[in-house]
Amino acid sequence: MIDFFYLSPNEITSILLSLRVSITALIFSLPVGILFAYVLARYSFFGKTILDALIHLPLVMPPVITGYILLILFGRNGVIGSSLYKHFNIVFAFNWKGAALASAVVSLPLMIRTIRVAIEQIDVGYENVAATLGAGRIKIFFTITMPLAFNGIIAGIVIFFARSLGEFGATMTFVANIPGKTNTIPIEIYSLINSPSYDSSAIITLSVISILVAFISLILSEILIKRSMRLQRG
Amino acid sequence: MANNSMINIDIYKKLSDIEFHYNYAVDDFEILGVFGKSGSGKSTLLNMIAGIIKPNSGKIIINSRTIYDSSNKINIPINKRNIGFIFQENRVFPHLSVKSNLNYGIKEILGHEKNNIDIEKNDFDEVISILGVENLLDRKPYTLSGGEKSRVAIGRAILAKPELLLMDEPNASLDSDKRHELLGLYKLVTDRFNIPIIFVTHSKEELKLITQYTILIENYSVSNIISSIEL
Repeated sequence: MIDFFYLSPNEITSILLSLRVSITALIFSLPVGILFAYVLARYSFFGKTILDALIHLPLVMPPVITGYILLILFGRNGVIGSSLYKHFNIVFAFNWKGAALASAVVSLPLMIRTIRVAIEQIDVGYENVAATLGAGRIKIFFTITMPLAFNGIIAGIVIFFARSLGEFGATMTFVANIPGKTNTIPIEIYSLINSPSYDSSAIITLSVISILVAFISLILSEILIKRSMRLQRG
Repeated sequence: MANNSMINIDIYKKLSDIEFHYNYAVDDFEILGVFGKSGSGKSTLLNMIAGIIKPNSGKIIINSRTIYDSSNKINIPINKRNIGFIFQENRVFPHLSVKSNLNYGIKEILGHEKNNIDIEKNDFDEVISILGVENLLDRKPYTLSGGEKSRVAIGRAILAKPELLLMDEPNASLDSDKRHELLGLYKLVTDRFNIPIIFVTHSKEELKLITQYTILIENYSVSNIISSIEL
């Protein structure tokens, strides 16, 4: 009998690391995600299609390429990475911050998509009424648009979190597999599979956790999206 | 009695293959009717006065204040025009209580005292009692009937102290009893709060009841301005 509930220190480290990586990625991605979602939902401008495609690129591009691009840009000697290191002493390469960056880049498109749809469903009429009542753009954004998109934003957060916990390809390429530093759940599973002392119970435990998180997230975001559609109809 | 209100419009707008051209001036109105078949461009006219749609060229002057003038590059944004708008669908904010809906426009004005229409904070009580919404303050909009939502929308607009109130077929979705009740309220509102109204409808009966003059819209332009009794 496999004991699902026994977790070795290694597995616990990797679960906690995964949480830290995903939560950090989320905190930094949420404002960016809401901003892009809002701009894409409410404005039309030259180059919008191209911006839209660029945002979605990490969703369809081979993750290994995303990781490689991150390495070129944010590696210690990278275009952006070198100056970040020189001026702010921030290093992304081969540590958990890099893992957070990689999972943010890969998960952001899903979040933007979800929030954008939620904003697009809001009747612009509510925003127009608010304007005739004297509200400026910022007030309208925070008092009308955001509250009406609330369920969609939560759905975006949930889907982001689930995708981010499962992130493997770009992370592996960008920050590799360093025990205690970059071995998130998927990377830990990968190294367990490849280790000589093949420990199937640990693999199954971590897999079940991942599948459960993903499954619950999908159901949750679906419920929230339905709820936000109901709210729109009044 | 409302102060003499004046509107002077000469605007041109091209939307895909339709060309709108509105040119009229009316001084001294309390409630001004706008009549035309559906699709004749009545709503577009109101949207341009409110600033929701930007004309291609022309001029809009309300009570000697120029809110749009293409030749002088004046285009006051919607939230600075101080023009209220009651839409056909009420558009009561679904996530806010009735009270928060009513209060939505108030705080904005308190900061800059640009208005001479004297609605004090105490007038909140008067407005809600005239509209009969005192008992609804804590309710959420989804629990309200259509008529109640209309009243909330009117109260919300009045409390923002607009210089002019635009109404785009606000009664379209109500039964005739409710309709008459609300028509009476509109008259009361102009008289008590000194807010002139431009009232769009496709009901001649409504226009005869509450307006003195009516602008006739045909083929995306003003065909005539007549005394409403002649409708």
